[in-house]
Amino acid sequence: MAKQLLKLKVNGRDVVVAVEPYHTLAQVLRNELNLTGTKVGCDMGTCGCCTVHIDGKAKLSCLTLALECQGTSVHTIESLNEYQMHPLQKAFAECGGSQCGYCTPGFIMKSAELLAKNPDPTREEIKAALSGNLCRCTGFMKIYDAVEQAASELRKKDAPQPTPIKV
Amino acid sequence: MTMLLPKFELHQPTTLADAVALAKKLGDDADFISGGTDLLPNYKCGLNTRGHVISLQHIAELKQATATTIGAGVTLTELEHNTEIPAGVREAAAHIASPLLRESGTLGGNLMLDNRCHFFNQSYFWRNSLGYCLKADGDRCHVVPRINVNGKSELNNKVCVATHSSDLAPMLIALGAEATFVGPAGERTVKLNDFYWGDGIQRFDRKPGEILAKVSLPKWALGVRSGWKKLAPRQSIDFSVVGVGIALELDGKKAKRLRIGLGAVDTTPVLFDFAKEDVRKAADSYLMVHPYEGMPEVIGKPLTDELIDSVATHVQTQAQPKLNVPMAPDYRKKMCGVLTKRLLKELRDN
Repeated sequence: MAKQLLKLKVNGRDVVVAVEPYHTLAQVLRNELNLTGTKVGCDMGTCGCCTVHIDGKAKLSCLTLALECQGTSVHTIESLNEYQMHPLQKAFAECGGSQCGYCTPGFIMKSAELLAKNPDPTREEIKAALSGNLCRCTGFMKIYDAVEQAASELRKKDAPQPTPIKV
Repeated sequence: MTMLLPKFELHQPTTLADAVALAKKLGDDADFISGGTDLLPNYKCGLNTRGHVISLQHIAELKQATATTIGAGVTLTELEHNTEIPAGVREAAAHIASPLLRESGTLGGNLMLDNRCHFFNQSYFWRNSLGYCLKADGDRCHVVPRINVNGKSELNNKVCVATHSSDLAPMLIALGAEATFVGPAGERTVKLNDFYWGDGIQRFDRKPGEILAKVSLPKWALGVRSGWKKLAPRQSIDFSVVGVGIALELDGKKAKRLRIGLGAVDTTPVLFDFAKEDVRKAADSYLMVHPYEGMPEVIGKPLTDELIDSVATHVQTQAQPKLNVPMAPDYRKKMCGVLTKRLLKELRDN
């Protein structure tokens, strides 16, 4: 039993990393690639905290074996704000959709997938799409508000172009 | 909390033939994995782990789907959005777990779902403190502690009553589905209903090294009304504690065909086939004492509210849920009748 080379794209960059066959994608992202934005909540597929995009589909990285992602393109929460805060992140902050913040990366990644497919979701569609993510702080209402606000922001034609964050 | 997976070796064959050859070589020490949404949580709890895991994710043959033949590797999300297949299958797929899990989970994985029990699906620490159970590492059942053996009460070290919680299996059984397996001895097709055995441990009739390749529906399944209703503690994420799938064919107002599949109340999905000639051949899980006594006459009769009531009463009396998944068995038993009644009325009126 030996480590194997895993080649994949993470947030648009080519990455080669040696992983054990029994390591999950969440472990590799957090421990090997230091992308700790992806959180591990229950590690059993129930909470949705570890959601990442694998080839554009929102999946649970805690139930995906790292080697099964050979050659895929993975996007984590870190990919959203390379230049400035993504409208989703901004809306979550403004609406109070994030309190302790542990579930937020999962919610935002799943919402991002939803808004990519459906730019104008109804409240019911948002609820259905986010039904696999658990939040124990907000009571969900503020999260739904945030997704609606971000959706209307993203639909605007004259949305501001991304500019680098001032450090 | 990170729960570490036990050490295993991962194999990633790209053709079905390679996967079968690998399974034959590795024998008992291998498990198949597709979506991983059932196997990996079980592995993380240390439940019946193996040294080798064979991934079926890269096999293109398993991912094809037409209206009547669905590959085992088709994900539940794809199934949910496939408008060609019967409505009941779509509904059942849409009710499984959560959107995130459905993106990975597959049809094959849902049909091969490991049976579930309060005393089985627990962490290693939890099970260790209780002394394990029949289904994993132990030698006694905590749900049915004693059984009657030749007139004497003995400790139960034989019968596992873990519940089969699959949503697709009862629906597909109601629609008369057949499953095709590919194994070392070649291809084999069985009625899905005959495939489940009625034991929590030896759950089904799968020969060593066999892979579920596809599920086929009979032609009549495309012409009938079908639907699915599920009871679970939460609407999302949770496994069903009662599931009812119905295939109904009407001739005017008269019932021509009625098949009801009941899920999550027994060690197997349970089929009620109201066509007379098929009655005795239908599933008889050995924990159901008198499977078909007093089945009401339905075929050829107008489907009135009274008839629906007696069908629902029959389903409710025959269901025998155990105290091993969430919610009390008597409540679940009643809900079998309630859901059957609601669904039958919906299907009749639409």
